[in-house]
Amino acid sequence: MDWNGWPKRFIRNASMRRLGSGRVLAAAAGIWAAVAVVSVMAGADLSGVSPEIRKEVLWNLRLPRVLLAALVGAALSTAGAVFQGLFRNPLADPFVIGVSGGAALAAVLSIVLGASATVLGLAPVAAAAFVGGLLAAGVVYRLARVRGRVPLPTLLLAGFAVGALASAFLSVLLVAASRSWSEIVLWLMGSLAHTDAWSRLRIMGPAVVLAMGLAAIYARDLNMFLLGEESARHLGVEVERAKRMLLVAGAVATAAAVAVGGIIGFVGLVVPNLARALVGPDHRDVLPVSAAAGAVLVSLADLGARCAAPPLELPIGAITALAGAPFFLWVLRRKARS
Amino acid sequence: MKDALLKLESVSCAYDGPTVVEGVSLEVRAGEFVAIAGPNGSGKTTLLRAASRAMAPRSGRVLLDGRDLYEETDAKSAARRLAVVPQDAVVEFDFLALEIVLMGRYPHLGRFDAETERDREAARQAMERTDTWELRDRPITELSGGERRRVLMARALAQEAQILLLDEPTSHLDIHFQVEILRLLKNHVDAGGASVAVMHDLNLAAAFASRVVLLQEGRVTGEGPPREMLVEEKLKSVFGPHLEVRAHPDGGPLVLPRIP
Repeated sequence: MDWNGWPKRFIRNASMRRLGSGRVLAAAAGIWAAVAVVSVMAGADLSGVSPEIRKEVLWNLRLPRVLLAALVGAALSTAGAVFQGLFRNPLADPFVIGVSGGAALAAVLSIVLGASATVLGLAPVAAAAFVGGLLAAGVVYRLARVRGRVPLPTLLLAGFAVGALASAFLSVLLVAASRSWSEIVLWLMGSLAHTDAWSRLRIMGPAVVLAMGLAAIYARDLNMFLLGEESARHLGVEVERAKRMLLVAGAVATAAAVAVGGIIGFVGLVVPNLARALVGPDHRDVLPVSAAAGAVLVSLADLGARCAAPPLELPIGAITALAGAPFFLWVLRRKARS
Repeated sequence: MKDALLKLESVSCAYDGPTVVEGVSLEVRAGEFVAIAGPNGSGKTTLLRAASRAMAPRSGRVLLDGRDLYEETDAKSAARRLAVVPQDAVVEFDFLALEIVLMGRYPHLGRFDAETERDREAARQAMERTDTWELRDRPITELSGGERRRVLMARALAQEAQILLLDEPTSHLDIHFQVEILRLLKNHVDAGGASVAVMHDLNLAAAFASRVVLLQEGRVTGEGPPREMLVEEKLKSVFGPHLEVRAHPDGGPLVLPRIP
């Protein structure tokens, strides 16, 4: 049979240039491996130190740190892609349904209260952030549900409202807890410098993998959502269940990322847009490509945070915004021109 | 008489306020092309939503193949029996026309299935029948309103459902494609399918529909063959005075606007 223009991998329309996601994934893997090697090598000179300390630095600080960066990047980008698809809005980001607000509030609360007990080997701040983020998402979902249905615009507004409420409480806490300011501000700006990176990886790694898997299972449903909720329903999507699953996936990925890395902005907004520009809008391609590209970019940004102005560490959130914003504008303008 | 494929039993619908559809009963059988006509705000689209598993009626029942559409039919099996062509779809992401049409295969695919040759073939045929195959690798965002409309029509055909529900299938279309789309529906019906279409153009309804349902303020005020429904007295009581009905040269009714 003559499949002119089929399969879509070979589509080369003047207005559409799409790469196969396989090639993009392979390229991302290669680039990440290179970044990882550089990240483990880069930093203070270890030639004069004892083998034990060198092993400690390489094996327990730098290696888990670059893995953590990859995890956070993949999680935020997956969540961004899920929420952008669900809300049919390329400007949605992982923080739209209040996860970051809830996580920040809970994290700061744990700092202010001086919580010290670890949870499953996880630092109290990280555990609090994870739980707080999920709680906020749950509250938002519950608030938006009317007669068994969760209209997406309502969900979006409830997310904004809960986020605003959380940040109001946060402000009050900040004033009340001036002694812990530096710790709080550092957490809020986001950082991947942790001495317990391995235990963070052990707990949040599986959570993120599960969330990504769940999102992947519902990737086709997410495509249907892009035509509108009612159209998706007409095509046979169990809309409310799909919505619930996708929200769980996005919320878990976001909460996990925030728990281990604080609030790192812009990644979840920019990376899915980049992925769509590369491979087209099909979420079966967008989700894996976003995850891979996010892993690469956050790893790179963290390398920059560590090495741009030694011995100072720059906040990684500042790096991602610094690099992400101009790039985003460039993509926007290019798109507007075509 | 054949069993009804789709049956509405005194269906009433309301959004948050007053009822928009009030006690509507309707049966659709294989081989029938039912046109729903009525003034703006008479509940046509709401009726279509109730019949398409998008909005549960406040009272009454909708039966698909004798089973309750909301209580006893899951989304996927409903979508294999019943395809909907919406008035328009706003698509923010630049899917290609072919990808949009392939989405019509969703109800035929398991969660982990990839589209097969069979699905691609169904999509291709649907696009050829709606004259959109040439548009297949154009992004949906770049198509004109009429082209997008035909792609949505192709998506519904790719679903291979026996029942087609359409909300103003000819809006945004030029006169050539208005006739083409309605001919397509006619063929679908002649091949054993059924169509229910909300229609504003009464003359096209007269030419193609086997039955016209007049809707006024959410109630059915008349139902029957176009010849019996599209008469001046009836239409004026539904639509007001600015119209007149003449005899079409082909024999049927011809509804014209009357400028006072």
